[in-house]
Amino acid sequence: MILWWIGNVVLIAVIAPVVVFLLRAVLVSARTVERTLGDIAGVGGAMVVDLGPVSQLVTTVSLASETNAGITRYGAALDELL
Amino acid sequence: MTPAAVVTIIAVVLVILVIVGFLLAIARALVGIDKTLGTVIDAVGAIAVKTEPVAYVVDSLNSNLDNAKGTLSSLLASKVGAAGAAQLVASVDPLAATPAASPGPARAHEPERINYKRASPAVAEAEPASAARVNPRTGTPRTGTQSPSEPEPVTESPERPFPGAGGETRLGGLPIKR
Repeated sequence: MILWWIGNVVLIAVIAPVVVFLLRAVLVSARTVERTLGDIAGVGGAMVVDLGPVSQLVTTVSLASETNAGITRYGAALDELL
Repeated sequence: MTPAAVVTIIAVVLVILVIVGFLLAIARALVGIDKTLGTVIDAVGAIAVKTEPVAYVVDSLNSNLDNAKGTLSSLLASKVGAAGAAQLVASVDPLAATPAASPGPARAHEPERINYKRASPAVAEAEPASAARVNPRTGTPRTGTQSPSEPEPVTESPERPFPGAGGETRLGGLPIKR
């Protein structure tokens, strides 16, 4: 009977606090990960918005090709003039 | 039933209830993580799609710029010679006269990096508003309508007139071969 009471005391004073401590640590870590993921999602959304003008680079390439051709013609004309 | 057995049963039930409560909270947090990860994956996919043409565009731009540079350089060299071309370029562009080993002027052409931390609410609150409004290249405060990636306005210098203006036949003090 005395050993049973000792077991009860160990269960209440040691095992239960350890279980609570470990589960609380897991819960805090999970909530921290959740908050961090929220920040990452916000950054991802901002990156998507910032990358919006990237599609206009196709126009930039076209303009660069036209500019290159114009510079070549202009250079040839200058070569004849000077 | 002895009192020791009753205490044991009560303690075990309490421990089980605590475990169940914590596990439910953890499961709820993990569900939130799962949803947020879905959002992140969607954003990353969108970024991958939007940045797909960048490699082709950069290659094409480099090719075009290389061609243009070669055309202009060969034209200049054919008119004033290689040494004269370097002197002419140095006379009209002070940055070109700087030695290549000097990192000072070259740093002025570095692209401005985007600070994505601004999207984080916690970081945005921690950062002072004035710090994000200062132009890193000039150190001057930005105006309200100027975006961080907006290029600086180009101002024409009266000391650098267009070469050959006024009907002169000299460029940068060098005679031109006809």
